[in-house]
Amino acid sequence: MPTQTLKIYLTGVGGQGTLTATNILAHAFMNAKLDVIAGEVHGMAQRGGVVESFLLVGGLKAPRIDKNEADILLGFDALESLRGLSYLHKNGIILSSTDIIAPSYHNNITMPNIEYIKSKLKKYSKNCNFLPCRNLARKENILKCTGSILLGAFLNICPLQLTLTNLKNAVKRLLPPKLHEQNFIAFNLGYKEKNLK
Amino acid sequence: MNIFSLLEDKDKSTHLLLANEAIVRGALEAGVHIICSYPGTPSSEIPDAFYYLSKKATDLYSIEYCTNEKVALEVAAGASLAGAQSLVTMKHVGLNVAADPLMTAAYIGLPGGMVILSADDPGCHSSQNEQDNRHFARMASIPCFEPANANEAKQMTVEAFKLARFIEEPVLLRTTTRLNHMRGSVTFGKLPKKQDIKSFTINRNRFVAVPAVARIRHKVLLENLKKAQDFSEKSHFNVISGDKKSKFGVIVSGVTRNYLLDAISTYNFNKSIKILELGITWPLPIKLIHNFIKSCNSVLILEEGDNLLEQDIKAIANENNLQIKILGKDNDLTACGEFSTSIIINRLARFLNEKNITPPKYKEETLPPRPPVLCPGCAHRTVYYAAKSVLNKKTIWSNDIGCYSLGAMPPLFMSDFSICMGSSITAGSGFAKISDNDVVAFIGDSTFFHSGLTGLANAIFNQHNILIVIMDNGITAMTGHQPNPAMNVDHINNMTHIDIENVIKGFGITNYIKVKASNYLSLTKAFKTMKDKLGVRVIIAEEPCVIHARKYLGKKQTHVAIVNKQGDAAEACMQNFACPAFTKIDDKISVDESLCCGCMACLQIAPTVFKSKKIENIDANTNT
Repeated sequence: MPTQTLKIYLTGVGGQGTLTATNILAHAFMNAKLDVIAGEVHGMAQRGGVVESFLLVGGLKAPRIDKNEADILLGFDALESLRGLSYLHKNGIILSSTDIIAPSYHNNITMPNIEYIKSKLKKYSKNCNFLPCRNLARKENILKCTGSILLGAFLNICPLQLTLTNLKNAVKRLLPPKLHEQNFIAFNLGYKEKNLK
Repeated sequence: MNIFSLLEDKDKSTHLLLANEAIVRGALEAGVHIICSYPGTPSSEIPDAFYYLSKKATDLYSIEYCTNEKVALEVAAGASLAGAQSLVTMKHVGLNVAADPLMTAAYIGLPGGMVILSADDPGCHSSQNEQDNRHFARMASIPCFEPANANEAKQMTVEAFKLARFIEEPVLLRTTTRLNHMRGSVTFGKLPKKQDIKSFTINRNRFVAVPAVARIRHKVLLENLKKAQDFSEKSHFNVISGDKKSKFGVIVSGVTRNYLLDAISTYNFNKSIKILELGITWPLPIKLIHNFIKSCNSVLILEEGDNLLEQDIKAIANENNLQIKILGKDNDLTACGEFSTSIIINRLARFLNEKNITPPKYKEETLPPRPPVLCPGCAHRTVYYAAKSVLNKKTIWSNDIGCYSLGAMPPLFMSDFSICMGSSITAGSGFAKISDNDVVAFIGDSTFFHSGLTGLANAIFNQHNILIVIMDNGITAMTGHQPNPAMNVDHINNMTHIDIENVIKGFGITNYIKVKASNYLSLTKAFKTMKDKLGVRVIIAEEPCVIHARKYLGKKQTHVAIVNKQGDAAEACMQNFACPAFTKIDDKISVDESLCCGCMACLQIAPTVFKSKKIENIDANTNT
């Protein structure tokens, strides 16, 4: 391929706004004049299910990512980041929230804690980045835009040229005006967070 | 996204749309007059977008959510007979329901033009089967378009309407989940001034499908298919690319085209191939295919689902005495599931006799699953719990399709069989006739109007012994909260409510009770009353969907539940009732107040464990 391609696997829990984030990021790449398609699986969000989506940048046509294919894993929930690990190729980049929404039905499988999850992710890839999104959101009272904090941080780990302006313009196109300011604050929070360990 | 941008009259502007949104735009550019739909994943975004847009597009088209897909196709057929361009949308199993009108509508023809969107689901992302609806185009003798990306979805929709009007036959626009929910760049065309309605010309020798007419019309249908074939032969949607001199030919359709193109652009194969991408998969462009394959030594057919192209292309080779190896399905590429880029890379490597690639194995971690479950506050959970606690342990649960299907999940396990829409009542009746066990059927309000009425009539008429529980939450919830006749229409002026209790009375059923599905005591009393009776019994368990009530009916939550007493009873409630709002931190059970909807079912079920707490600042409640 002449242009550099990028495969991003996004995962989270229904209700976290993973699909909205995918749409915002897709539009941001489009604003950056990059060829982009997205694969979204709509449906189980409200029932607390896993929501996976894919972003393919640089002229790729297939709207899905197979095991071992993703360049970047963007996880809005830490448990889902661990669950989706096999989508990432070894030493791909991980950017994950450290927040965990506990699954509702507990069976006999042990619920891993964040330390366990972080250690597993670090073992898989040397390029691991973590962000306590909910804590950051709570400080600025923007809990509804928790996902956007991760998108702001994404700008720092993305190998392609993507700017804060690209993200902001995406929000301006997609969301009603009353949500713009909160999302811009969220982007800035994530973007300025330099400690991603 | 700002959905109203779909109405923008900005020729040549580009937008990043879901393919479903692109289909809406395509229909608008074609000048569609009427849309008739029954919701079904992955097609539901189409009627929903039209419905939402209708607030601003009052004179452009009419949209209706029909009671089922057969009804939708028939209403649209009538509209097309009257001269309108109609769009009918459904998921793949919906076409089974609509197949009756489809077959004969194709015989009589529809002058106004009809496009049928069938959204198939290879891999069963959210369906009870993965049937391949390309079969229907062949069986009905109608054209079939298969887009592979969002822009093509739009373009094909426009062309499908043109073809439908030209040959006066329904046209099938066949998609799959990966396409419907794919987002890609779409270039807008012009929005037309209103497309004309072709006025109806009386022709009883055509439109009245009695045997004498049908025999003649079948021949006309096949002639119209030939016209479509000329279109297919010349269509720019069938594309040849790659190395024209190669002896290795690959023929591909649907989303698989994307996997193939990515495969050859990202992996270094030693040999080159020539490619035929088919966008029109019925009628097949036979001459085009013949010309493509005759210079090949071997041809590989890549299609998800059944081996339809494979069989037809083998027949073309046979008719022309071509000595070519034609390959399609094998042990790796079966009729089951979906393809992917890496599956195609592997298949191509074998086809070209090149080194096979084995992807690295990764041991999947066993993690707590996150299956979809009934929402916190959902009254279906209370109904199931009441049934389970009152009725005898050997009762057989006949279930159906909707949000309440999630009652099958642990720990409720309230489903022993479920086949298709409406089968809860009918298959339940049949089971009860043979078995000694009591049978209870669970059916939702939308499913009830979809295909429960005929089963109910049969149960009464043929004197079946079954307890039917109508789970009435007043909305078609699972597919995204679409309207149906059971819905509260206080805030809507173009839909009329039908009261389910009136329907039950109208059927002459005397053994029925209507209760609030959020009232555990009433539910247990109802089940106790009905369980030992014979014949057809009905419990209408009514409670608006908790999400719909909050969003659209303006219901405000004033209280949350809190755990008052830890111990065995609390543990039992957590294990057996399992509301998603229950959580356990350091062996202490509590209610997550951001998830609790204040339905107070847990208080009713376990009064020693829970009590209610008033919410401090009601407006700041951040329930999503």
